[in-house]
Amino acid sequence: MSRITKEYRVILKTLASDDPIVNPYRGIIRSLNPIDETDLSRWEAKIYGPSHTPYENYQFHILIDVPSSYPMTPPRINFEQNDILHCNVKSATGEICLDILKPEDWTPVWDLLHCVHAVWRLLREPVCDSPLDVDMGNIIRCADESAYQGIVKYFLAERERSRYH
Amino acid sequence: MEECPICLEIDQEYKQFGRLEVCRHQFHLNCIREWHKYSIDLKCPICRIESNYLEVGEGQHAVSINLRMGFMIKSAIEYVEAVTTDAGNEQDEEQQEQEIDIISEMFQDRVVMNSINMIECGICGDTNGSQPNLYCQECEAIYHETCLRGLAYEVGECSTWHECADCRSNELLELHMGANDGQVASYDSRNCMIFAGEVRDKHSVKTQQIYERIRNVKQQIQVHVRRALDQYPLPLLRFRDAYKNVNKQVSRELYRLSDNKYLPTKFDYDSLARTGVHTELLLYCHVEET
Repeated sequence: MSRITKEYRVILKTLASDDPIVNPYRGIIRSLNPIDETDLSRWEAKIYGPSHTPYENYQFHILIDVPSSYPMTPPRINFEQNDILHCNVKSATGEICLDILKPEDWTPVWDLLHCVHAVWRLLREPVCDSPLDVDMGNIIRCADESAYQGIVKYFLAERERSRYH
Repeated sequence: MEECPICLEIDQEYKQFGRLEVCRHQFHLNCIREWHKYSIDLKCPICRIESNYLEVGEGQHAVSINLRMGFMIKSAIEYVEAVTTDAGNEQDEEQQEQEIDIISEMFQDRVVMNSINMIECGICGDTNGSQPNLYCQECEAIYHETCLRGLAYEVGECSTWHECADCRSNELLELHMGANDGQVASYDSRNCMIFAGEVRDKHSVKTQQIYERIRNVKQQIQVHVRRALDQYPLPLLRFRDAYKNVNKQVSRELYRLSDNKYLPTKFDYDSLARTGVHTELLLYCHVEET
């Protein structure tokens, strides 16, 4: 059985559980599943915005490509286009800048749950030293908390509005 | 029951586990070696502590595989390929030439080796004088015992470590190079030979004497083998190959038995030759049939 098939089993079991020891991802990962059951190379995930951040009460949609060389090479992980405003994400494409997803930092003992969890942590702890979105990086660097909160909340409110109109 | 953190399989029966030397984390041998084709360093996938050796097996069968070996070669090959693919760029040409010089310098000792046989391990290429200690009589390759063991483990044929990695002959002799630790040992195959585990000048009087003595012993022993062979009816020996092969095998066995000396008082060469020829012929016919 291939590694990704094994992982799929573990993911189903983990996310279905209410026990916080079995499922430490409660309140973090809402869902993680292949887009098409017969093709384990394309996955999608929904994560909750971390509390005490402007992302709180919103959900975010992540797309995952699992290459055939996985787990020797990292999965390719993106947000959906125009889904989020964050200093380490290029909003228009959804591209994420996260060290553990780069081939030189990746290790094959990590799995998809780890990766999605790491993306969630990135929402809580933005890394403004290596921003993909320079403007957002500068706002955080200025330590202008209210401006940061305001602009993210505005973006997300607009996102919801455009979805339902 | 432990699972391999890379493939998540528990299988212990068909797949060997290996332990990283420093942090003792365990992985399937295949999985961690596959990872090293992708990784940029030899750090543990779990704890990022670097290990240069991977330990396989327990107790007296334990083998330590040198992970550094070949690891840099991969990047050197990639590097050479990368350099050749952008060969079109004229500006960089001078720089490239310098870089290629550095690469050929890295492998310089390999180039020199074409004319002179180095006492180097056929697996790791180490030319440290005293260490490589097994010598293949068939193809003249020299190996470290540890390298042969490691290789056998890696290809999953643990029981074949005492075969030459190149020609698969199991006629490996121990090689004693004396205590010239740290020196690079070499010999010129035009003038030297390896006999009884030592390098000898082909033209020295002593070597000539050894040659002469061995030639005599061989002739004397072969008389017995031929006699035994001639007792078989001609049709059975219709193949010249069969005759030659059986002769060679049996004679060799007898040389070895009497340690390259002719000792007619100690051994009954005639009956030994007869049984030897008999078994060899049976074997040979069997091989021919299949």
